[in-house]
Amino acid sequence: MKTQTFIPVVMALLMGSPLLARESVKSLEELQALQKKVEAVSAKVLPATVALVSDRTGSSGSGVVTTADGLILTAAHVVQGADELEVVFPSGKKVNGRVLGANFSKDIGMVKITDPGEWPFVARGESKPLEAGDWVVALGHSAGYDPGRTPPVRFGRVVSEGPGNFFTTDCTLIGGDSGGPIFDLEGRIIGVNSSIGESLKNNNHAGVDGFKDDWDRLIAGEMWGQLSMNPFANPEMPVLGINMGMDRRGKGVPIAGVFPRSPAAAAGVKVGDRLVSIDGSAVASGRDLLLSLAKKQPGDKVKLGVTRDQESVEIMVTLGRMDSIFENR
Amino acid sequence: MNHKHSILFRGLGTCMALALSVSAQEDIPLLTAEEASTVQAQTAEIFQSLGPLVRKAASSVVFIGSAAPNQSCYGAVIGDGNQVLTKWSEVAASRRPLRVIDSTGTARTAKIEGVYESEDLAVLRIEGAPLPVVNWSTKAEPALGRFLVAPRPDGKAAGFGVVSVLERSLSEAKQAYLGLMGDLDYQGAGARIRTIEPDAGAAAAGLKVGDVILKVGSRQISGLMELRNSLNDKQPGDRVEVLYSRGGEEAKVEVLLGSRPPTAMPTNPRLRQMEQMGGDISRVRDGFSRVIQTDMQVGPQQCGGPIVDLEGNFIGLSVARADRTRSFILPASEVISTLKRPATDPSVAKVQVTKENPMRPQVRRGQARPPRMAPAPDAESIERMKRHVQDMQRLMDRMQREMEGLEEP
Repeated sequence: MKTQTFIPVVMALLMGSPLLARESVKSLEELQALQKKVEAVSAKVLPATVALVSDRTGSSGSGVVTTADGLILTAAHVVQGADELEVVFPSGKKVNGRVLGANFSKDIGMVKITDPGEWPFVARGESKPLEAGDWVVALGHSAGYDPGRTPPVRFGRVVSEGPGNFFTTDCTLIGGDSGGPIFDLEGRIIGVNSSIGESLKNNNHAGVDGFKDDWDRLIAGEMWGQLSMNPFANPEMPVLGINMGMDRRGKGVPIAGVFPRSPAAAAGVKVGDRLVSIDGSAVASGRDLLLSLAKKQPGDKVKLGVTRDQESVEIMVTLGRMDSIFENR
Repeated sequence: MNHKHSILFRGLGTCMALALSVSAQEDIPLLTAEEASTVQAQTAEIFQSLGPLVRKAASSVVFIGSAAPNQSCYGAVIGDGNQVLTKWSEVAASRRPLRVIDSTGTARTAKIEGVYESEDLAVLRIEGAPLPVVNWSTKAEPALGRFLVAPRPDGKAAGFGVVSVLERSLSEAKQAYLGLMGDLDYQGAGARIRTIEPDAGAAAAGLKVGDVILKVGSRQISGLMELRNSLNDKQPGDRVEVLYSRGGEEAKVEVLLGSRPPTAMPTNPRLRQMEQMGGDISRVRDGFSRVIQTDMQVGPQQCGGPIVDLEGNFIGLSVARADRTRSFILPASEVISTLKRPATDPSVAKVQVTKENPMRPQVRRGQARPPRMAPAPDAESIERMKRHVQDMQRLMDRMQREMEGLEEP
């Protein structure tokens, strides 16, 4: 579906093994094989799943160590308002951490352990190729660090992609789990816990690829962006750079305006075009367009089906970011 | 959830909705039909694969119905085959004989024979021919991440989850205790004693206020959390060697561990609210001698039955739905040792309801919130968040109205 999924699929075929994340569960034997992986992941990642406790704000979140020298990935809202944090390992071992950067729009943040030492850590995987049905394992110090237990393991699968860099799973989360890690079946970090909705299936995580994109700024200690549960208000939301006209009876979205120097302008989208499909799926209304864009990310290439002067035209557009569209005006 | 139970009560054995069915589209704003069907098909596959295992276990599981509102649960057949072990608080309110339905769909009357208040268990006696009993498996403690299934008497699964946390005690009386309070303001290595209980282990061993504990056994102590954690594998009555520092001098003492006194945990209204997001929780959900924590999604009325692993071993009894993320299982070994103790007569037994926070705010449905601990976010970010949610709501409403308006002829 996304262009990024292509490479791992090809690699998996070349290596002669099925794509591991999508393991089938059609028999008890297959369930037992899946169980073995979940047990292995749980044992591997547990020692690197830390609680992050702030003296100043009195709050307690979670994080995961991703380098031997103690770089921790967490959620932006966990480090909000703190410069220093106590980092607590599952054993209760407490060390000091310094807050580095955070991007609130993606709800991602970094902390660095300042005590010298080598720490248990887990490598990072990829979040962009994730799709509904991929098996995942989430951990976090639910309800804050509890010396009487290790951070609880939760098993589930990706339920929905988006908005943007976020994805939704049915690994149930609660307060204190924020910033805690979520892993693929190889035990690689694929995201950090961010928010929940009422439904047990509505647990949202920020994808680990968001860290990759912002790595240098986060390491440098920059804080930016805006915490938002609303994908349409998120400054990093992917956009085409058009103004939508009123859609008529489900026959597509008329393009009423094209922002100068926007992705749509660069790709040759014109005022008066009628947008009828995106990546082959029909766009009946403005709502359809907004929802399908919310599942993409800036930098993704999409194929627009456009009706222009009674003729069908296909246009490839590389999506931009909402904030950059307004900067460019 | 209540809807599912009422179906079960009316027509056991007929086709029922899966316990893990996919939520309605509105629950997850960006859920596409394709994603929903992928996840739903996967759920169906899991439950299909579990079929033979669950059907085999089902003959030792019963459904227990009561005339009292919201009183029903599952039970495990034990003893002579005419006894059922279940969750006491879920049957306690019944003033009339209980109605038990076995795996063949046959209804039997039952009465409560004995109660184990501390574990919230009741033993029922059922009429009719004896049923196959649960063969409790105490071979090995299930590993972290191990798959667990709650079989129903009708041969379907009530829930599926993994081992989230290994066995531990939720009863303070069974947790080891030094007899001191640590100093929260102390910044250095180790844990400094702020107050000490005159008659407890630490004081008896000669430890004093101001001493800094550096080691418990061979374990270096970095702070209060590690001090508490270092006692996890100890029992009241055990002895531990403590290395401490007093006025720059280091010394060792042996401390006889006692039982942790009950502590009133400060309740966090925000956390309480999140605990109940996603469904009802059990009225009795704490204080158990030993539990395995699982992420299994079951309702309070789906507790009380046995839990099996993928090899079909009965590894314990489902004892509580504790919150959005946690359910508790009493391990098989604890079930066996509990049943060896004398039971309390049901006429005098009490339900030890887990204390609720009286200030619990109403859960507003459908509003996304970031999970985090107290203190709540500052007023500004709450306002910002609210505005965003409202903006989105308005946008969606407007789009909806526009679409509906356009659909009309």
